[in-house]
Amino acid sequence: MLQLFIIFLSTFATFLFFLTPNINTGDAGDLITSSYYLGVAHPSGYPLYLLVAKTLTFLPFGNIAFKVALVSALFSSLSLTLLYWLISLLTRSRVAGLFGVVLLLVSYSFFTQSVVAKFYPLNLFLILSICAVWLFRMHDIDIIDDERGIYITAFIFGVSTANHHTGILLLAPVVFALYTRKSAFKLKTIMIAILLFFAGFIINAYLFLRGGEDRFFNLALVRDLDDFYGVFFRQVYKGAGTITVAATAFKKLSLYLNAAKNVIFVLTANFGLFSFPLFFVGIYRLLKKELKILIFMASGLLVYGPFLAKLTLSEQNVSERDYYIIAHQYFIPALVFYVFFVSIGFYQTAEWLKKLPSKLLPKALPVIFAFFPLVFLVSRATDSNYSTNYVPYQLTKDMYSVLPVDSVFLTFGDDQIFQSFYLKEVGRYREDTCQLAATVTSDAVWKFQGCNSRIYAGIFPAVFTKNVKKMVPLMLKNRFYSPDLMTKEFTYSKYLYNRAASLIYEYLPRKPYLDNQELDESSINRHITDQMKTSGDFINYNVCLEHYTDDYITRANHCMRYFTYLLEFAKVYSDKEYGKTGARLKFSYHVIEDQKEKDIRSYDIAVTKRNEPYLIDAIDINKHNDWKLFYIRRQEQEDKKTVF
Amino acid sequence: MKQNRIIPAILISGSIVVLIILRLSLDQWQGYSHGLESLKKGDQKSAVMYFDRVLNAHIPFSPLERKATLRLTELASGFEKEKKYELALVCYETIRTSRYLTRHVFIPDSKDIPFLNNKIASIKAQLLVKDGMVKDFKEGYDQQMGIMNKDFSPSVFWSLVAVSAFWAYIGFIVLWIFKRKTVYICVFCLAFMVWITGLYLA
Repeated sequence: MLQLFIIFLSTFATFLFFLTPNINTGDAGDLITSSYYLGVAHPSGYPLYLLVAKTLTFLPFGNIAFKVALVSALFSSLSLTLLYWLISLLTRSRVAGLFGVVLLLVSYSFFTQSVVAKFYPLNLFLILSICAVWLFRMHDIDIIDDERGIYITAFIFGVSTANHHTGILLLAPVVFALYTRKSAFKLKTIMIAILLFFAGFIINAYLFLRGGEDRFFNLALVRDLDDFYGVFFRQVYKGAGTITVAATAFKKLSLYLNAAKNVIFVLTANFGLFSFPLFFVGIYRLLKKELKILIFMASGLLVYGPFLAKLTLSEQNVSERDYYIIAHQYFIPALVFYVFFVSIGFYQTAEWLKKLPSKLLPKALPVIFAFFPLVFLVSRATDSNYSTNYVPYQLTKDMYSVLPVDSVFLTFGDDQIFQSFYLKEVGRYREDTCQLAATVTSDAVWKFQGCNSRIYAGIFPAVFTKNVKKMVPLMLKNRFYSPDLMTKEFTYSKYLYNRAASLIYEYLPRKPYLDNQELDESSINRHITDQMKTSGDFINYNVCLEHYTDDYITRANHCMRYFTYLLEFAKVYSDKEYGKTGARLKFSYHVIEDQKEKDIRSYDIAVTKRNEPYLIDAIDINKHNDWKLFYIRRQEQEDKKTVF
Repeated sequence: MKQNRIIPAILISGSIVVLIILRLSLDQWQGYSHGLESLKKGDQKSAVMYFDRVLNAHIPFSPLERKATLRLTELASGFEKEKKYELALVCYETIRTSRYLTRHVFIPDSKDIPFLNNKIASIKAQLLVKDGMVKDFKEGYDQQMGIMNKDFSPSVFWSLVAVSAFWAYIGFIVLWIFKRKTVYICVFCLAFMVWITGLYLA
C-alpha cells in the first residue's frame, strides 16, 4: 500500500510542478467555462468531465483554470498507480512496475495531456480500471470475482459514454475476456449488468438538465431527443461525427497500412526505438506464459492503435493540425497498452540477466534501467513545461485591454473563442465588450455565448438584429474589432475591410455598406495610428520569450500574433522623426495553416532608434517560437517554408 | 479496520493539499519578485502582469496577495493622476477579474468588489463620454454598473448539492457492486434524485 501512495504522490508532484498555471490552448477554455457554469461543452458535451471539474472548482486555492487542470494531474497519477499495481502484481517485480510507470510518465503525449485541462487522463483512468479487472481475473488474482467484474465493467462502460467515446472501443478485448469466463454468465448477471450500464449512462441526463436555452452558458443546446442525439453522437461535425467515423472502419481497407505506420510513428516519438526490442520480448514472454493476457492486451493495443488510427489518422501525409489534435491526444490508451508489453519485456530481460554468473549485475542493472527513462524529464521541462506558459491567458487579456469601451469583438476558431469565454464569462474581464463567435471565417451567422442578450441587448441593439449592415454605425465609431486580419473566405469581405489597430484588427465598412455616408479616411488613419502608439503600454509580448512549451497553437498562432503586432508597431515608428539608423529590415512572413502557405505578408521597415528594440524583440519571439519544434511531427515532412 | 483506511486517506489528501499550496506559493513568490523588479525598472506594464499572476495563484490569507493587490491599486491611482485612464482601468479590472477567477464557495476578498466596480464604471463612463458614445457621465456609469451588478453564475448551494450527490451516486453503486447491501441501492436512488434536483436548480 505504501508503495502505491509513494507512486501516486511522486507522480502527482511531478505533474503539479509542470501544470499550467492558468488557461491553456485548445478546448480548455470551453471545458473550464462549461464546468464553472455547469453548462454543456462542445459535442459530445462531456458531462462526466464537467462534473468532476466542477467538484475541483470548489477548492479554496488557485484560479479556476488551474483547478480544472488538476483533474488531469490527479487522474494521470491514478492511472500510473494502477499501472504499477497491475505490472507488479502480474510479474511480482516492483522494478518492472516502476519501469512501466517511469516510461509512461516521461512519454511526451501522456505527460503533456497530464499538465493541461483536458479529458483524456480521465478517459484513460476509466479504460485502465476495466483492464485491471480483467487482467486480475485472467491471472486468477482474487481481488474481484467474475460477477463483480462484469458489474463494474458494465457500470464503467456506462459512465465512460459521458466522457470521451473512445472508451467504448475497449469492448473488443472485454468480449474476449468474457469469453474466457463463460461460466460466470447467468441471465440474472446479464440483466443486472445491463441495468448498471444504464446507471452509468444516465449521467448523460445532465445534457437535458443543463442544455436548455434558459441556461446562461452552453456551447450546444439540448432541448429534445433530436438535439441529444446530435450532441451525443457529435453530428454537428458531420464527417467527423461518431457514427459517420465509425462507419468508415471497414471501408478503404488499404488505409490500415497508413494507420499502422502512423501509430508506429506515434509510439516511436513517445518512447524511442529502444523500446521496440523490449516490446517483442514482452510478447514472447506472454505468449509462453499468459496467452489470454497476451490476446486481451494485444487486442487493446490494436483497437486503440491501428483501428483508431484508421478512423482518425490514416492519411499518408498527416497535417500539422492532425498531429496536434489527433496524434498527440487520441492514442494515449495505445501508449499504455504498449508500455504494458514493454514492461513485461523488461521483466523477462531481467529474468534472463539472472542467468549471468555475476551476483551484482542481475540486481543492479534492472534498477538502473528502470530509472533510466527519467532522463527524458529534461526534455519535458523544455517542451511541456506548462508552468511557464502564460501566453494564452496574457494574449487574450491584452486583446481585451486594448478594446475601446463598449466594443464588439468578433472571434474566430476554437482557441480565440474559448479563451475569451474563460476570461470574459468566468473572469468577467472587460464586461463592457460583446464577444461574437464564428467557428470559421466563412460562417455567416455569429454565435452569442459571449454576448448574452440578457446583459447586452440594450447596449448593442444593432448586434442583436444579426444584420451586419446595421452594425456599420458601431464600426464608424471605432467599436468593431477582431483578433484576425480578414481573409477572402470571410463572408462579408465585399462589404467590410480591416486594419491593424495594435494587437487586434479594426473593421471598417466598404462602399456598399456606407450608403451615402462618407468615410473620413484621414481621421481613421489618425485614430488607428494613435491606437497603435498607445498600445505599447498594454501589450505584454515578453510572455512569448518566457515559456518552455512546444505547443503548436502557442507558437504558430498566439506568439505569431505578438510577432506581427511588433512589426506593425515598428512600422508606426519608422519615420525620420524617430531617428533613422539607415538600416532597413526586409522580410517575408508566411502564414502557415495545415502545412499550406495561406498567406504571405511582406515587410520592409526602416529601422529607427525608436523601433529598433521592438524589431529585435520581434525577431527573438520568432526564433523562440519556431513552430517546427512541435514534438509530434515527422521531421522528414519538413517543408521548404521558412519564416524569414 | 475503518481507522486503517481513514488515516491513509487523510494523509493522502493532506499531502495533495500541501503539494498544491507549495506550487501556488512558488508561483506567487516568483510573480511578486518579478513584479517588484519590473517596478524598479519603471516597467509598469510588466509589473501589472506579474502582480496579476500573484493574484491568480490564490492562497487564502497569503500576505503576498495582499501586497500585490496594494501595488496594483497604487499603480491604478498613479495612472489616474496622470490621466492614463485606460491603464488605470486595466489595473482595476485585473484585481476584479482575479477575484472572480479564484472564486470557490465564495469570492475571495469580495468586500473590494463594490469599490472596484465603482472605479471601473467611473473610468468607462468618462471614456464613453469622451468618445461621444453616451449623453453624459451618469448614463455611462449606470450602464456599466448595470452590467457589472449582474451575475448569472449557477447557485453555489445547488451546485455543491449536485456535485456531492453525483459522487454519492457513483460511490454507492460501486459500493453495492462490491458489498451487495440493499441499503446502498436505496442511497444510490436517493443520491440520484438529489443530483437531478441539484442540477436543475443550480
